[in-house]
Parts: sequence; structure tokens; C-alpha cells
Amino acid sequence: MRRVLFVDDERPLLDGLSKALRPFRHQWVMRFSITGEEALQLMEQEPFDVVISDARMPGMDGERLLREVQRRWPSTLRIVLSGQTDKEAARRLLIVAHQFLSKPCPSKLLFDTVERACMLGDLLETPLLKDAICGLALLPSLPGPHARLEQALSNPAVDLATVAAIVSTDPGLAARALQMVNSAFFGLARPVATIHEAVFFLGLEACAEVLRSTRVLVADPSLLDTLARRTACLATVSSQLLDDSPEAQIAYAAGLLCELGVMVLAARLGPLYATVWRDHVEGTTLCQAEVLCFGTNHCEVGAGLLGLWNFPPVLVDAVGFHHTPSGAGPHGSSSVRSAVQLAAAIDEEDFAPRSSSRVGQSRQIADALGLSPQLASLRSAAVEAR
Amino acid sequence: LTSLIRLIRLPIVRGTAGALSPRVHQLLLRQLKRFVGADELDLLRPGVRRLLTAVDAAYQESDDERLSVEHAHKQVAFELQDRYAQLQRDIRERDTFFQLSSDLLCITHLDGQLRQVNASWTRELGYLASELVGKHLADFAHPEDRKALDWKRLEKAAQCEVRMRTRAGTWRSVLFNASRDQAQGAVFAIGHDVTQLKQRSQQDTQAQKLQAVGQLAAGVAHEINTPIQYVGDNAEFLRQSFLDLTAVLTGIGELPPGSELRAAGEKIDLAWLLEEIPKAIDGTQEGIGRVAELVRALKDFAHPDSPEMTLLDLNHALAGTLTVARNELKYVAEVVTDFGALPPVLCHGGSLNQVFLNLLVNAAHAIAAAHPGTRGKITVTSRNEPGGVLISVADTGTGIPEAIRNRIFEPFFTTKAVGKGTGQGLALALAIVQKHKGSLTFESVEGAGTTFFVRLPKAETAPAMQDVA
Repeated sequence: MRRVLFVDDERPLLDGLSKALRPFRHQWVMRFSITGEEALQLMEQEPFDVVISDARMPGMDGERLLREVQRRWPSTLRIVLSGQTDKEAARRLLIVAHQFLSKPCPSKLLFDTVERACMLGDLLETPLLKDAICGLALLPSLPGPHARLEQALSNPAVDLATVAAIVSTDPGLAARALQMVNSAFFGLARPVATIHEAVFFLGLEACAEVLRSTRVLVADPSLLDTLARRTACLATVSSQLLDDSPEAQIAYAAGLLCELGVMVLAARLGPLYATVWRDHVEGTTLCQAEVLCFGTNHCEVGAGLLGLWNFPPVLVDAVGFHHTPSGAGPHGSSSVRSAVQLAAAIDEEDFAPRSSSRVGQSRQIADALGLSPQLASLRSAAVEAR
Repeated sequence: LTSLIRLIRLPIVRGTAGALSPRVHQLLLRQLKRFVGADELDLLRPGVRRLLTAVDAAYQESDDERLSVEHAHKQVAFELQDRYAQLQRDIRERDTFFQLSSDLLCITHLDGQLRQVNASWTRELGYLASELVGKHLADFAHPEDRKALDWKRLEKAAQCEVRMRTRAGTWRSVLFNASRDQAQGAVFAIGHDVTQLKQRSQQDTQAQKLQAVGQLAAGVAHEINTPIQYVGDNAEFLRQSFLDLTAVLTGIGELPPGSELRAAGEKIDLAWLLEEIPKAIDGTQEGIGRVAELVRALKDFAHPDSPEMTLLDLNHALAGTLTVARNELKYVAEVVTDFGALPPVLCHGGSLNQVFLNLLVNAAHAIAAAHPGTRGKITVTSRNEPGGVLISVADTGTGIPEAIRNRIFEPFFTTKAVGKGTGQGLALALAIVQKHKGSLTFESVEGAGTTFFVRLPKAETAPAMQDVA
């Protein structure tokens, strides 16, 4: 049974929710609170998996409540359910909340959204890991792109194309931009899966918020170098594979986001991740080293986070399975996923010659996809991207 | 003696006395000889000599006087010439100002009849001076504004804003400052063209209004969304729980006749209720859905205009604008939409919504004018074309008469009744579309309808890949 706490200053709204969600009474234990303060008292008495709060409330408002929840119960999912229309306030809420749902929200959509968001928590076994990932507020960002974006935005005449080009080089910045644009608050009729589109939909003001809600990742220089290299390689090679197809830019975003899991684990569990990284340098594949230490790997963490933020399924799927060519996602196999898998295999072969089991894997994947003739040119593209 | 005097005056007229005096002396002596005889003259010789000396002196004296008068005369002439040149220069300078001014300058008689106009009347309004002078200023003003130009009762100075007709037949808003000069029997007037200024300020007002509506809509949306949520939730609860109840209640109708519960059920017409209650709940849910949709559309529509350009899904915007404008359209026209898949377009906030709304409302008005009492058809299409995105709004209205086709985008041009249109709609729409580097055109068949085309450039979001290093 999932334990869900609703907070809203309007009693009829809480009554309505309790009635409309009645069909799910066997899956959810629901509690209702009329103020933020009361919600905190309830949480002190019993644990909750999810808090769903209104934004504007007298006394403690939604932002303050969720910030407090994040600090004290980091693994609890934080969701906003609001009729809020003020953009700036909504963007601030998105940093502290995992998701933003707009009133009116049908009960089925509410239930499905919460269940999908909970998949990540279900995946993370230890409370330590759960707290680390769910309690994440500022997204880790690579030092180079972070500094470049900061500098670009300090120029008031900067254009969106420049900003988009910088955001396109960093998993953290790109993830935040896509999270904002895909949140229900933004109210777009369709999901946005490419970084340039996300930046152009958001505009400069929101991009400044993207920058403020990320923090430079502090880690082993060899890890940072590898991240920068792999990110560039995966994004470029993935998009090149689907060149000329409308999915090329989606593949680029998917490739870029593959290492988000590594960055989040390294940012939140630095000392532990340092040992993982040493194991990897000594020859274990990164995923194996991660599983040994955390019981999960960066693919799952990355995909879980994207799912938590309501990312388009095609991105969640590609990130989740970029190292698992045989795994079948819930949405079947997509060309974007295949592209990312091949790109990841090419990169890994070039840099992990000692893990001999993986040598030749790119050939296998390419054969399976009927892309063998292009393998050589992709390899050189990978080298160039680095 | 008369001829004598004539003789004496002669040299004064002829020239310098000194040079002619021997001849004058001779003439005098000859005349004297004729009157008195030669002998007598000899006797009178001393007297004659005195006379001649006196005559000489008189000559000399008058000659001096003449010279000084002549000198003074010349002096005055020079001075006059100088002052005349200066005056000419002054006049030329004033005239240059008069002609150079971009304002409409004119001098009229006290009754408003034009006496003089400057070149601006030709440059700005297109009239030749000859077409204006002699006519009344008011003849060129909008009939409604002519009263303001009645300067017969003008005390001293007055200011008035009037619409002036150009030679091409368009209208300009002109602010006249007139002042009356009783002594010269004239009114001097300066007309400043405030058309653009007015247009800009009206557009600003329009933008401010929209901003205020946007804020209001956002506030209302926030307030309304909460009750929509719980009315919807309660309706959903009723629907589901009534399904459960139906299973139980249907059994009552199947009880053996004579059973008390069955009788009670028949009394309240249970079978009918079981059929109708779900319909009532469906209706409630549909209504709530529509209210929610409208609030969302209104919020999107009133999206504040921003200097920054961000992407907009035009089909979504069109659908939203149609929702907002529903009330304006539904009584006069059936609305057909045909949306093609579109790439997002860069735009300033919700300003394009304003363009679509203006086109839709114009279409509705054209239809209402063409077939009062019957419904026409408005077709809204969107297409992704190689050169950009094309939105068209077609109506089955009156069509635009050939004669005014080149004028419909002019500010303040309107064919609608007073109070119905500001004449700003299409001008504003054109300004907005041009701000987006697009174009606004139309095709029209009189009596059959008009189609407006909005073409907008596609956003160039294709990334220039950058090295990550």
C-alpha cells in the first residue's frame, strides 16, 4: 500500500479527491491535511511515500512545505497540484517538487502520474540511495558548460540559439530544461524531447532559472573528463545514426542524458562513487561496479529520474536501456534506443579494451540493426566528437 | 519775362551751370538787345554785367543745393536697396521654413477659406496648392469633424484634432493649432499629423488592456480551477458509485410483485431514474470539461506579450482562440478547422492570438453583414509550407469591394458602423505579423467571401553542434 498525503487549504477539494480516488482505495492509503503545518505533524507521526500539495495556501505555502519535506524526508515524492498560473512561482516550485500537476486534474491521471513517479523509488533498495536520489534539489552540471552558460546569460543580448547550443552540451542543464518544458504547468499540447525546442519554448528567463537550479559537479578529474567525453560522443553518434530523420534530435538528447545517472550518484554519494569509479578504472564495467555498490546502476537511476519528472517515454526508455541491448522496454524497441545503444557500445569499446567481453559488441548491435556498413564512419565520428 | 525765366531755368535742367554760362550770357545779351536795342544795351552794360554776375551766382547756389539733394537722394536709395535685400533674405528664410515644415501650414481668411498653404499639403496629403487655395479648409476634413474647423467664432487661438482626407481618399489625423489675426483678417493654422502617434498609443492601450485581461484571466483561472477540480471529482465519484448502486438497485425491479421494496421502486419510477441519473452525471461532467477547457484557453489566450520570442504551437493557439471567440462566432457561422501538422513558430507572447481573434471577428462581421439571420461558414486552415507556416481564415461574407482593397490595412479605416469597429483591427494585425517577420494578405470575391492569409517564418531551431571540450 502506498501512503499518500494530500494538502490543500480548501476542504471541499480534499473531500472531492477522497471520493474520486475511492476506486484506488486498495492501492493507496490516503490522508488529507488542510494546512502545511498540519501536514508536517502528520508526517512526524507516520511515514508517507508521496506528498501532493497545493501551491498557494495561507500560512505555510506549498513551496515552503515541500522544501521542509525535502529536507526532513528526502525520499518522499513531492508533487504539486495547483491552479497556479504565475510562471516564475511555478518554475521555483519545479526545483523543489518532482512534478507539477495542474488543476483540474482527473483522478485517473493523478493516480497514474503518481504511480509512474514511484517506479524510481521502488527501484532503489536502500534508504541511503533513495534519500540521495529523491532528495536531489540542484542538478549536477559539468563545470565547462555551467561556466559557459553563466557567462552567456550575463550578456543581456544573448540569443536563444547560443543558449541552446550550450545547454546541448550538458546532461544536467538539458535535463532541467526538458523537465520544465514537459511539466504540466507549461501546458504544451505535446511532449518535447529535443533540447533546442525546449530552450526555445522556455525563453531566456526560464533558462536563467535552469542555470540557478544546477550546481557544478565536484568529482575526480578523470571522472569529469570521462563524463564530458562520453556525453559528447553518445549524443553526437546517436544523432548521426538517425541523421535526416526527425528523431535525430531526440536521439541527441537521449545520448546526452545517458550519463545523468552517473552525475547524480557522484554528486549525492561522492565518496562511495569514488570507489565505484576506481573499480571501473581497474577493469570492471561501470554498471557492474555500480550494481555491486548500490544494487542498481546509472541507467536505472537516470531513467528513474526522467520518469519521475514526466519525461517523454522515448527518452526514459533509451536512457534506461543504453547498456542493455537485449532488454526490452515497456514501449518496445525504438530506433532512438537502438541508436543510443550502438553509440554506447562504440564508446565503450574504444575506452574499455580490458573488459574483453564487450569487444565486438558494437559489431553485433550494428549487424542486428543492419548498420554494419556505417560502423566505420560512426567510429570516426565518435573520435571526432571527443 | 516768362521766356527769360525759362532761359534762366534751362541750365539747371540741362547740367552744370559753369560749363554753359558763356552761352547763357550770349543768349541773355541777345534777348536784351532785342528788347532794349543795341545802343541802349551799351548804356546799360554795367547793370547788365551785375545782372549776369547775379545770375551766375544764383546758378551756382542752386547747383550746390541740387548736388546736396542728389547726394542725399542717392544715400537713401542705397539704404533702401540694402534694406530691400535684407528683406528679401528674410522672406526667403521664412519661406524656406514655411515650405520645409512637415506640418501642414496654412493661412485662411476669417471664414476658413484657404489663402496660402505650404508644400507639406502636397507631400503629406497629395494636393497641389492650386487645388486648395480658394477652397474651405473644412472641405477637406471628415464630415464629422468639420464643426471643429468653424473658425468664425474663434476668439483668438484654438486647438482641434480632425481627420483630413488625402487626395488618394485615405484619412490622416491632424492636430490643428489655429490663431486668429483680426488686423490681417486671417487665421494662421499649423496642422500636425498625429496619425502614427495615435496609432501607436492606441496599440499601447490595446496591449495594456490585453495585459490587464491576462492578469485578470490568470487570477480567475486560479480561483476557478479549484472548484472545477472538486466539482469534477464529485461528479466522477457520483458516476462510479452510481454504477455500483445500479447493480444493487436493478435487483429491486426483479423482486416478486407485491413486495414492498418493488412497490416503493415503482412509486419513484426507479427504472427511469436508473436510466436518467447516469445521463445527468455525464452532462455534468461534460459541462465541467467545457468550463475547464474555456478557462485554459482564456489563460493561454491572454498570455502577456513579451519582448522575448519563444516557441508557440500555432494549432494549439488557434484552437484556444476559437474557444475564446466561440460566442462571437457561433451565432453567425459554422466554424470548420483543418489543421495540418506544424512546426512550432517563434513569437512574442500571445500577440499572434490577437491577430487570429481579429481575423475571426472580422470574418464573423462580414458574414453577419452578408446574410443577416442565416449562418455562414468560417474555415480556419493551417499548413506547413516550404517557405513557412500558413494560416488562413476564410469566410462566406460580403467580400471586400475592389475600391477599398488597398486601404483595409490603413489605421482608422473602417467600413463598420460607428462604435462597431475602431478601424484598428487589421492595422494592428498587420503590425503584429510584420513584427514576426511574416506577411498578412487576402483574397476576396465580392459577394462570395474573403480569405486572409497569415504567413510566418519557421523557427530555426536546428542546432549547430558544438564541441563539448
